[in-house]
Formats: sequence, structure tokens, C-alpha cells
Amino acid sequence: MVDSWTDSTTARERVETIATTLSEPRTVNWVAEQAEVEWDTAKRHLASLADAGLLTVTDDGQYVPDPTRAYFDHLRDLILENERSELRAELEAIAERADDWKQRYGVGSPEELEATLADDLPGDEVSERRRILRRWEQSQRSRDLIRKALALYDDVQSLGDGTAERSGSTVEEAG
Amino acid sequence: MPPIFGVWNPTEPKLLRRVHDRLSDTAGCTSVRYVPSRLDANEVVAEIDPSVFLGRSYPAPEARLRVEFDLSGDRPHYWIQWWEPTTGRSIGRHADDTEPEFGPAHFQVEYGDGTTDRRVVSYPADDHPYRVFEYCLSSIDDELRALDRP
Repeated sequence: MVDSWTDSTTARERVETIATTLSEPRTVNWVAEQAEVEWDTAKRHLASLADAGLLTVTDDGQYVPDPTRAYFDHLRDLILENERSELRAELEAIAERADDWKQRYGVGSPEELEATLADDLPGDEVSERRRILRRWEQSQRSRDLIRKALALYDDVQSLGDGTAERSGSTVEEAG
Repeated sequence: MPPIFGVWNPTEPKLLRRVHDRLSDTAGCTSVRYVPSRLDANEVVAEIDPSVFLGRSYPAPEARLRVEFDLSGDRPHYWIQWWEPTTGRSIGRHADDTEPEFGPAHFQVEYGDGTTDRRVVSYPADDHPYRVFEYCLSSIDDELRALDRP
């Protein structure tokens, strides 16, 4: 049997899951209801996440993920969790998927595929093309981020190396 | 999703990661993976051992759970689908624009003989997509039992 969400997670985990994946600013009340926690528990954890820079507070007291922080965290994860070769291989796979769609639908871009939705197509075919369009647009976002990650790869990795070297030299000096 | 304050926010990858981690820690879920790939994820797919997942004997030897979100529009779209390859039967909750007569979200059953039933779902359309996922995950057993009642 599947454990319920409230049995398998802490209040903080539930608030964090909801709050860091919001599409729009939300009130403490709304987050508390969605995360199945008391208002004051939600408020405490939301304030803590805002203090940590993960959330930002709007003028009317609602919470939303800090967009800059989320974007750079995503880039950082791409760089630190993947080898450069993995990122390059993914770019190739994304290009191959796009080539398949271009060939299958006789189009050159997602915009051209979107234009075919106006054609007289069966309902199932329209749904399928919408699904492919969604995937294609998501792939383009993935591609753009991976390219940025590759451009920053050496710089970010060298920061880590620098930290390791500094801590290494500290150990040597201490020894 | 629409940009918040003009910046694209990678919410969908984050949501999918939460779903992936949840299913990876759930009994009966095997081979939990991102599709088409971890770095370009559109959905999370898990192979299921139904008897372990449901905690009871179950006639189908295997099932597959598929979870997909689309936050690019005015309201979240999602597809949470349980499919049994041996029987051809599937159940799922879909929030999309394909069946407007059922409102913002509907429950869909596809039978092995190719017929399909749909019904309106009663939870608020305003719910967070992850909460909807958790609700669906915990209600799969009840939905399957309801189908198997004579």
C-alpha cells in the first residue's frame, strides 16, 4: 500500500515541495491547505525558505519561488551533477528528436507544427501533435540551458577545484 | 509555465524530480525513469508490480504509471495514468483541453476492448499539481477496486 503523503514526509518537506514549485504567488493560507499543515507551521517554513533566498515575498505578502535563484540553481545542478560529455550527448539526442519530428510532420520548427493544428485533422491527431509540440518546446528550453551550462562548465568546476586546493593547502600548512 | 517576473522558472523539471523521488521510494515501483531522458524530462514513468504496490493480490502481473505536467498555459495541465499492458486497461486523471464538456479535469477509464469512460472529477481545479499527484497515487487502489466490483 502507498503511504499517504502526510505519513511519508515532514511538514517542512511538504511546504517546501509546494512552495518551491509554485507557478504564481500564493498566500500562506493556500500553501498551508495544499501542504496539509497548520497556518503557523506553513508561515514559519515559508519565512525560513524566503530567508534562505529560495522564495521571494510579494508586496501583498504572498510567496513565490525566486526566479533568478531557481534558474541559477538549475544551471548549477546541470554543471555539478553531469560530466561535460553527458551534456554534449544530451544536446545530440535533443537534435535527433527534433529531426524526427521535422521528418514525421514535414515541418521545420515548433511554430510550423503549431500552424498545422489549424488543419482539418482528427481529434486524436490534434492531441498527439499538441503533445509533440509541448515536448519540442520543452526540449528547446532544455537545449538552451544545457548550452549555457556548457559555456559556464569550466568556470564553475574551477571554483570547486579552487576550494579543494585551498582546503588542501590548509591541511598541508596545518600538517 | 509563464515567466514569473519575466524570468523562465524551471518548475516542471523540479516537479518531475519530486515525483521521480517519491515513486523511487514507493514499494512496488521499479525502473522509475525520466522520459525521454533525465536532462530533457517530459514525464516520469515507473514500472509497477501491482501486488506489491497495492498490498494485495491483483490479476494483472505488471502495470505502468506515467506522470506528466504542462505548466505553460493559464492553468496547470497534467496526465497521471495507470496502464496494464497485459489487459490493455488503463485509468487516469487528465487536466487538459481535450474534453471541455467534463470541465478542467476528468477521470478516464480505457478498457481492454477499446471502449472509454470519462467522468468529472470533484477536487478543486485550483489545487497544486503535486498535491493532485499525491491524491491520485493514494487513490489508485480505490479506483481499481471500484472497476473490479461486479
